[in-house]
Amino acid sequence: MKRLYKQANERIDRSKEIHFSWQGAHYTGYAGDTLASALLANGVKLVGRSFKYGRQRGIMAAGVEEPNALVILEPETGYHVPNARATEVEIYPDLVAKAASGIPSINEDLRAWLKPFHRFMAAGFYYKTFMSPALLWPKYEEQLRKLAGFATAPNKPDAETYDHYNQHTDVAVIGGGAAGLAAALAAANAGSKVLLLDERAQLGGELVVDAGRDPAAQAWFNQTYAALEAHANVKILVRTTAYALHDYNLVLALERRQDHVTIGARNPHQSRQRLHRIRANKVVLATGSHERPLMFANNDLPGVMLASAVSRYQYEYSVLCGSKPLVVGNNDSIYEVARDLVKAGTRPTVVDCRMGYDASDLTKLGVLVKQGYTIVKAEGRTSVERALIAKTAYSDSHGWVVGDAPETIACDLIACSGGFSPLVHLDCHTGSKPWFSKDYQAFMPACDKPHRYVAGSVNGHSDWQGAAAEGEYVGLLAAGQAANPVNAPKLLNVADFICPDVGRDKVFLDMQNDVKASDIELAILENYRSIEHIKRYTALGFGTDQGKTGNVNGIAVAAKVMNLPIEAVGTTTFRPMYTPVTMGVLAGSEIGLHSDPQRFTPMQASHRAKGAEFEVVGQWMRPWYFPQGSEDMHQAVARECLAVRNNLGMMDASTLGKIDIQGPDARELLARVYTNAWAKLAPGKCRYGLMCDETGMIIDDGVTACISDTHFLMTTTTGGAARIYNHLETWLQTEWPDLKVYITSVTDHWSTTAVVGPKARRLMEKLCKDVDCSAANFPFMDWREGTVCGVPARIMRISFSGELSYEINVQANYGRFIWESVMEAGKEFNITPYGTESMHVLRAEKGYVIVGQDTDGSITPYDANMAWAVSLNKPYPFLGQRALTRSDTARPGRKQLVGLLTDDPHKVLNEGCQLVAEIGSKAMIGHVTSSYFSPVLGRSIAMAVVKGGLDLMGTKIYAKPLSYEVIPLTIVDSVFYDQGKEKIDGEI
Amino acid sequence: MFLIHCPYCGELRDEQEYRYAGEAFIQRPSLDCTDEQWGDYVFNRTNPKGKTVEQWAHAAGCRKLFVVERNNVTNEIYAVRTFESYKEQA
Repeated sequence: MKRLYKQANERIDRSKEIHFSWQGAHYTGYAGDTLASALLANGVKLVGRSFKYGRQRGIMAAGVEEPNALVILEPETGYHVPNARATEVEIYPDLVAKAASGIPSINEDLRAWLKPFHRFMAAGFYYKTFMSPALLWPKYEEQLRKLAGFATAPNKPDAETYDHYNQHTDVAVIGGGAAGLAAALAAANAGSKVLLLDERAQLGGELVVDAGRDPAAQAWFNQTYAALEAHANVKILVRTTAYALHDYNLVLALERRQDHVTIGARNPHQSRQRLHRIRANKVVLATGSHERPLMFANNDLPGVMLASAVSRYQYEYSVLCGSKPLVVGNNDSIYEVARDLVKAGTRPTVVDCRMGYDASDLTKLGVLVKQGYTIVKAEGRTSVERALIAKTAYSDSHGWVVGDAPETIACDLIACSGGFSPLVHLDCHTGSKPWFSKDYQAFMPACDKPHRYVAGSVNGHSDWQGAAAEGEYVGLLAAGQAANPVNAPKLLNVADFICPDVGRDKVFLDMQNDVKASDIELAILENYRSIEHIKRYTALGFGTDQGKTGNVNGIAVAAKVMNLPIEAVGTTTFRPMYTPVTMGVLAGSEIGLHSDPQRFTPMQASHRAKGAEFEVVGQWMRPWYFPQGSEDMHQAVARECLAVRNNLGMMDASTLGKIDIQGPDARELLARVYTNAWAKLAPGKCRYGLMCDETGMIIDDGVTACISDTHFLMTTTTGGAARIYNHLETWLQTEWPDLKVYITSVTDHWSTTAVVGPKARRLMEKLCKDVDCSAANFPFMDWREGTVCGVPARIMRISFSGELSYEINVQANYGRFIWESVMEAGKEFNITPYGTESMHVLRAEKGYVIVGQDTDGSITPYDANMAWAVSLNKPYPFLGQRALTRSDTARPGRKQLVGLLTDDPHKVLNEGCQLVAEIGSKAMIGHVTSSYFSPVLGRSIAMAVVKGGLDLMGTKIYAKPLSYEVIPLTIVDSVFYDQGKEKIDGEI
Repeated sequence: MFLIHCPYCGELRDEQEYRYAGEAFIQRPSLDCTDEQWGDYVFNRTNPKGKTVEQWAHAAGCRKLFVVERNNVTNEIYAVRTFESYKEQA
């Protein structure tokens, strides 16, 4: 391998030397080189080890289809890129790269030492060998994981940022080769807005090779490119891979904006990569094609390359891949490659399985052309040293039959071509199936979706002129112009697949996953028939390259083994992504708090100053508890709970969902969505409501205040606000459009400070002069409009603790002021702020349910022991009413909500703990839904759902946590504290 | 990822702005229906392959619900209509 003398159209800049590191050693390349071309120019042949057998692998391709040269960039830094393809990596000064494979290194791989056992490691080896005894699998897995996969995952946070971009265009052209360039220009000239995308750093696609062979191609490229660059209608995105094509022409494309820039020179204010969401009226797929390798023994040896890649390295990077090349294939393209190699000063040998191609120009130059032969094996210790070729014979019934008297040809490069596979991927993403062309021996794009066109070599064009002509034609069509149809593609003369006789030799199909022809045969022998099953059993086409070089060969082998035509075998499903996409760019800027925003109440700063611990409740950051000194949660909660029970507490209840309901039918809406009655609720009163869906199961609860006959304020659970609002909207718009009612979410408009405890009235009397807070004139479940600390407020006497409680609702901007004023005024009563944990304990002591904790979507109001909240006599039956009498909902033995007391008062059950009727029983009769230590009772309490539990009061049952313990306990009523409701009016 | 024309906003907008709200025109039976009829209403859906008639809500827009007649294989949308327009037709 060497760098050639400067060529006219090479795309490297020899004035800019670039120094980089590979496997810890220093190398030099030029600006414009990929890591692959720079390594080849430096004579590096070994770039990786194979997945399963640890075999030596070299660079095979020059583009994204490369299966072997997986590399890690900038390892162990915040710029770590695992499994980049060396063929796509543009080198930059001080790049650090290493192989993604090799245990411990690519020079010495442990797996290669297992060679004597490789013949036992065929497809399904892992399933068959390590499945039993099942108990040992975790041990096996631990070891196998070390051997599996390629690169290590990054171990540092990503140092770079990513973003998303929405684009709208008339025509999106995918692929910047001859067809794409022509299509873009034609559409733009016809007046369309055009977006042209190409995955490489520079436009041109395979024109780079054509330009090396034909100056006319270069001239056409220069002219077209200049016209596009200057065109006001055209936007060009290079280094941009269209990786998915979805319905309605949504193209997803990944733009690599800084991957080619030296780490230190990257702009920290600019994203590394950008995801473009492109809505295009028309899409032109000019995606090109990938060459297929030939199937022969040791076809994975370093030095075996795709023929087209050899030419590409020669013309684009002026790199000669071998000095003694052998060019071998089943189609006409190999002769062009041989002519390129002659031009580069070598004397290649050409091996063609067919007869009859006129290669006299080559033979005249002394090139050995062996027609009617093909390669059967590559040999060499660390890279190609010679090739074995044998005679071929073709018959329609048996296809190619290869003889067994091989001749040896010395060579250091095997440039092979097994035909070309059009890149139908994007066309298939929306469900189209490719069809098999016998003439071209390839799966072709169906292009059967509206507003979509294909052009160029993806459609079978083998010459750039034909591709460009078709590009121009579809460009005009995409722009809505009339155009004269172009000639049918000039297809390459390609012979049938040469499938090897599968013997003991290793003939690789999928290099990345070490899938051999014999694995396909084994899978079929074991009765896998669908290509989708064969793929999954053998791992054909898995991995980062998704079988770009190997899949179609694998399908051909499967067809031969099953004696079916290739079209009957079909392809596996092409799914996005076309090439790997970073997790970072998928997330874009929606990471951290932008991914899951935090919501704060207006009192947040006060809570923080008080040293509150927070918990997340439906995105809200709610104070969990307010520790003092060195208190842990249990100590803090005990102190808070006792303060509320015996003295005075305060809580931020702003997060409850609030829905403002107005209109003549507001009351009717409440009656329909809640299970209880609303007809008689007078202005100034509040009522607790229980909400079911049409299956009769509880979905929400909360208190609603009657502001006037046509105006109500509903509260929902904190986490249920959006869901319940959707629920109401849906019913109002679909079943009940006749109801005259408007609903508005006002959760954020109000903030709520709850003043709770026996001394609450004394504090309220201090803060609020215009409301009579006496028990007689402001009874439980009433609300009053008044002024608190000078701020207009709605004060509600509702309670989630069983204590005297006033909830002060003010316009949200006053929330912090009121909270701090209450705190200040409460000092003389030693007021104690408390959080959600104490709230949970206090409500459990009273047996109040939390929807979503004590109910789980399978609990009816009757199951929850809340028959008191069900009114069956309303004029319009409430949602879920009919369901409550269904045979299953009404049957005995349903799980019902009860209280539990453990025999040992200090034993606190785990929530979720299973319950059984007998010590030895394995039959679950229920589970614990809530469990706490109650400071005021001095013992543990729990709520649970138990089969038929309401009829089992006083029964002894057992809890079985995830240990060998059995905890005896008794079923009791779920109200543990103040059963007589004597505390609700506080200190009179 | 398809585009839906909101009949209220009058604009063709991305699917992400909308919320799927289930099959359209499910008849709510009266209270005296059988358990089976109620079970059908609550649990059973036609689940067709091909043309579906479904409710969508413009969740990040006007929050109105309407009917989308869509092919769930090709995602082709045949019609987007308000509930009122069906009533007028009937």
